Amino acid sequence: MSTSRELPPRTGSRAEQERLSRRAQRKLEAERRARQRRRLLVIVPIVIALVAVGIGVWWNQRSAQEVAAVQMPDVSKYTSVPHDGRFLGDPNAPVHVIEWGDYQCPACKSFEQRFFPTILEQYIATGKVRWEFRDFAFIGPESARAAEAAYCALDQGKFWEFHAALYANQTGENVGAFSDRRLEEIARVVGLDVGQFRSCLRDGTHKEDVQQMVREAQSLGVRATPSFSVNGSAPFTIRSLGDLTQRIEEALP
Amino acid sequence: MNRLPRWSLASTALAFAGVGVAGYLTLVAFDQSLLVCGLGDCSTVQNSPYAKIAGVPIALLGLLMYLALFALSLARWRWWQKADVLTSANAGIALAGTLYSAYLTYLELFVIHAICQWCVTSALIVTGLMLVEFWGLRQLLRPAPLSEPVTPPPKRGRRQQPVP
Repeated sequence: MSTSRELPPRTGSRAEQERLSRRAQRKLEAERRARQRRRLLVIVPIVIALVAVGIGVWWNQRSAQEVAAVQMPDVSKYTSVPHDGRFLGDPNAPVHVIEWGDYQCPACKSFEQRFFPTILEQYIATGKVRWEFRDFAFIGPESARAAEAAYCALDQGKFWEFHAALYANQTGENVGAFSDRRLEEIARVVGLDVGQFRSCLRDGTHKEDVQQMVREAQSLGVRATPSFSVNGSAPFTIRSLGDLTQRIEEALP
Repeated sequence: MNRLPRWSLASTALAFAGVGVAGYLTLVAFDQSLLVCGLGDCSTVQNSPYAKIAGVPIALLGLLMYLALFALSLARWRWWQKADVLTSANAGIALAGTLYSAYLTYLELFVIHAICQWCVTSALIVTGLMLVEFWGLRQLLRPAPLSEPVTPPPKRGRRQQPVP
């Protein structure tokens, strides 16, 4: 027996109730849908953002590790001209250029790889310039370690090969690019006697030499890298290759 | 024309500022003519192995993010009836940008040991954008009927008032 039968028979009331009930149901349903939509509009972007950031971080770490593989650059440009220790070119060349660099400095790498081949070809190979590289290791502990390692390579007669390999394997500043282990790997690809190199580095054979060179550069006024001096001029930085070639041209007899 | 809420205007302005900052960082990332190293600057950060994802500079990804935020902000002005969906998308993008910026700032402080002031500026902008967008989303998703515009419909209420 239904309850409605017990209610006093009121014409239209039942239909009215059903209509109201349907409307209430529709309203409830609409509200439920709206609530669901609101929830989705908040949750979906948060979930997508978290997933995207997770993928981004993972991929970034993976990319950072990929560039850490040691590689050997083409060093024929150095070995094709007279070279002696830290010097490149004819000892009797009329112009003497000093470059102060830091193996961790991206601008030094940029200069080395993009502009130095032009200098080498036009001025050093032609006997006009004698080039000298000096350390101004200021960016961090790995700068000094890389400079010491280059000294150890110099002891084995492969300074310029090691110098080029350091820039080729520069992956960032104080991020382990020039850790002792990686410096040994670089020594290996350059063809150094790794045992001798290791003991040279471990014993800090050239630690004081590098510090002395940095102190000298500071006293001369070097404040950034790469800095240059042409025939004993005060150190200067450049904004384009033209800034340097102009100074060299002016110094040529 | 209905007046747009202030948070929407603030969001567009922040996205525009972000385009400027990320645009500058992208130019630096692609600038191979950099010829001087100073101490702990943007070049240090941008030359770190963490500055790229699969060879693409993160600055460029940041620029694309700000452009998307800016475009969606403008679209929201044009199609206000879709403001909730567009704001939800913007909030998600800005949240991803904020979290990734937090990760990059951690790298700068504890791994690369250099702080790039423009990167920090970008991190602050995207954090501001995220807060504004989520605040706006909260405003839009208040339990009022979704079809009703957030900006008050002009003068409809007054017309219904009984004439004395």
